[in-house]
Amino acid sequence: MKNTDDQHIIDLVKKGHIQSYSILVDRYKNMIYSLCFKMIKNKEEAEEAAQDSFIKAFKNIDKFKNESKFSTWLYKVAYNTCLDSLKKINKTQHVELVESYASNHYKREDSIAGFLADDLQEQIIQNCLSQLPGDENLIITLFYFEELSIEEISEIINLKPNNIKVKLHRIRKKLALLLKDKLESNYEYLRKL
Amino acid sequence: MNTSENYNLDDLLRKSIKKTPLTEPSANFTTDVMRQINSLSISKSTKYEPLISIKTWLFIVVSISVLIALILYSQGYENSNWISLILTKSNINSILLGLSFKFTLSRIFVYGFICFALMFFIQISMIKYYFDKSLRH
Repeated sequence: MKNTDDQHIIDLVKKGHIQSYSILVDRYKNMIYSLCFKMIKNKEEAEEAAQDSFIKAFKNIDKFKNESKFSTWLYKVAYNTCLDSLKKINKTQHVELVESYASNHYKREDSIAGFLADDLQEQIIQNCLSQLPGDENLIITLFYFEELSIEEISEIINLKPNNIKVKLHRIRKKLALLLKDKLESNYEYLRKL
Repeated sequence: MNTSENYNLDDLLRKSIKKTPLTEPSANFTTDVMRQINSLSISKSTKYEPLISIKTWLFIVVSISVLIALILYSQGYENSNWISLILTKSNINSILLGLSFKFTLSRIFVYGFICFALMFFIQISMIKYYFDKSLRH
């Protein structure tokens, strides 16, 4: 329903009803901004990248041929805009931290999910997610939040579906280790109280 | 990670991430985007376009060609036949395989045509200058 509605608005925009585009901006601004923020990790720059993404999408709306969902196409535009933005900023993300952490603690994988209390879950998971590199955070968000298929994610970030599967597996492993570490530190903290 | 743990983590991530609200941009995000888009479309509409479009030029060229062709093949008031003379002198007439150019042209027409052409180009340059000036403000 949402896709056919999107298509109707896109047709209107193509015909020259520019103001209709604001409906699409309103509909996708939170998701696009979230993705940009996860990639860039800076509020102002993420907002600028999100705005640029919508403007780029508007300029190239004639190139959207309805072969995929509009949202998938828009996420791809946003992803590429973020990559450009990151190149400009020349920002070094905290990739090394997580990578070294994962290699040092690779064998400490016990059951995790059962230990987490509901009220802490969200906060801890968000904390762990924020420690992931931007592109991995983006893949996780697209897969779990947007519930996109592996093929759709591969289309957005220009990787083969098999590579996405491998990446998802590695990210899950990393998250497991991060979660376990958080859990242990929380447990220690609670025990001292 | 074994399969059941993998499944547990997968399930946990799915539930937790789905519950998390998305980060919201500033309140005037849509307004800012639309303002930039509107300014884009305004600059598109003031984009320079030639005063005489390609279609018009094509029309002018075709019209003039048709006019010349008509003149060449029609009988005029005077029997000057000068085109025919030129063609004979330059030996082009032999190439045109017996096409007889009984081209006649009244002097009034020639003067009128020259005046029209002159006025046309003067007017074009004046109109162009006027539009350039008005667009600068």
